[in-house]
Amino acid sequence: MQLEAGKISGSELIFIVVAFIFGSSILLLPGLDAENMGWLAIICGLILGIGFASIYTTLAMRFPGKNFVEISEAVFGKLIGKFIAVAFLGYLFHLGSLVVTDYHNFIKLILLVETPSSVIVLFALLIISYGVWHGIEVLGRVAQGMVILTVGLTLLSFVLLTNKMDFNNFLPLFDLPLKQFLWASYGTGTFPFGEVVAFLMIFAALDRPKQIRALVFKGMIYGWMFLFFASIRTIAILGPTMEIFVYPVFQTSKLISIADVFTRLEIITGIVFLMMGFLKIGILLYGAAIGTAQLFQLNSYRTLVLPLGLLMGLVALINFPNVIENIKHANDIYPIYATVFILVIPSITLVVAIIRRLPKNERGN
Amino acid sequence: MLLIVLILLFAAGIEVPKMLYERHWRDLFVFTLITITGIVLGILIQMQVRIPYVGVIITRLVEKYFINIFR
Repeated sequence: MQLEAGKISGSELIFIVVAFIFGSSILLLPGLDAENMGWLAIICGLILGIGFASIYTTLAMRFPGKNFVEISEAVFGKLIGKFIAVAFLGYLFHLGSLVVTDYHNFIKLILLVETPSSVIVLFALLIISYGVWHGIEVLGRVAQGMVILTVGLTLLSFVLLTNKMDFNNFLPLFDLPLKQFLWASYGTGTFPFGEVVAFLMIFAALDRPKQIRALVFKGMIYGWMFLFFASIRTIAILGPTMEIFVYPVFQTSKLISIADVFTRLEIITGIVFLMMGFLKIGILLYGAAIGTAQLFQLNSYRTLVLPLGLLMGLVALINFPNVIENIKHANDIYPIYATVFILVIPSITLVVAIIRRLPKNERGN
Repeated sequence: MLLIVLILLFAAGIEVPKMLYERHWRDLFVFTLITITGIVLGILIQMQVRIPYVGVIITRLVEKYFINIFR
């Protein structure tokens, strides 16, 4: 059953993937566990992420025009397939709420300190739900504009901060226990690159299904490039002190000063963060809504967008008692928790599909 | 928090009659389930009832059963 009539082009998919990678990862810069080797952890994370994405794209190309809910039902049968789909949709929904928590904390701590949490969450999710209600085509078009603006502003802030960079902060190289470095690399592989698993709900809307792999890889590499620049900039400017800041990338933007006239330009970075967050939460909400509609064989996913979005916002408010727990979860727990959904479930689905030669069987039927 | 609950009720006021008229029972059931969950959660948070933190539950579960496998 086709719930989404809209289609996205290849370039729109690339822009959405870039926004998704950039999303909350620009807020809580991944690879910080690797200290001054964070840039290398991000490179290793990309390699790992490309490996994960190969699984998703292979799955999507074996079942063109189908999202993960349909794929799992086709592979595992109605009962087990639905059970796996529920777990996967639960992950998308919870990941969405985690991203909302990240942004809520950021807005509450930095931008709108006096504003009640419920107002921040409500208005953010009303706007996101409005975008998602209009479908994937609209998200794709919004992503194009937002990513171009984000790239421009990120490069501008990079250039404006070059005089503050000290490349001695990268030294000593390779002075980190291997275990700690591997953990940081794996963490970067899962967040943000492994989260591309959410696109298993979106690939069905692509107008050129044969090019999924190339398009996703391109999007991931472009997204990685900006994350890499952000990491280089942060390490070069903050050095070892970056560990004491909750939002190190934002902290570096605070240092922009052009002849003491143009200062306090961090608001530009704040706007960039919010735009990327809008898209990431939007994609996750879209995936959760269309998946739920598919699961229960509803007539439309649009009726679910607002209640599911507001529920996501409410869950975001009861995710963590404070920012410290949130960061502990992001650094130490999330890579393990996410492994089930970004590696185990898609891998098992692909292996079972290959063993059962399912696309061939389906064509035969 | 009550604002969120009011918006959910408002959405229900718009969507439910449409679904009833079109006899989309399945849609109505899922919509009602999600909306009621949202309303109840919103009211509980508003009343400052101590609800277990979702992220913390996951953190404790992972720490208890899985962290040794990975680290």
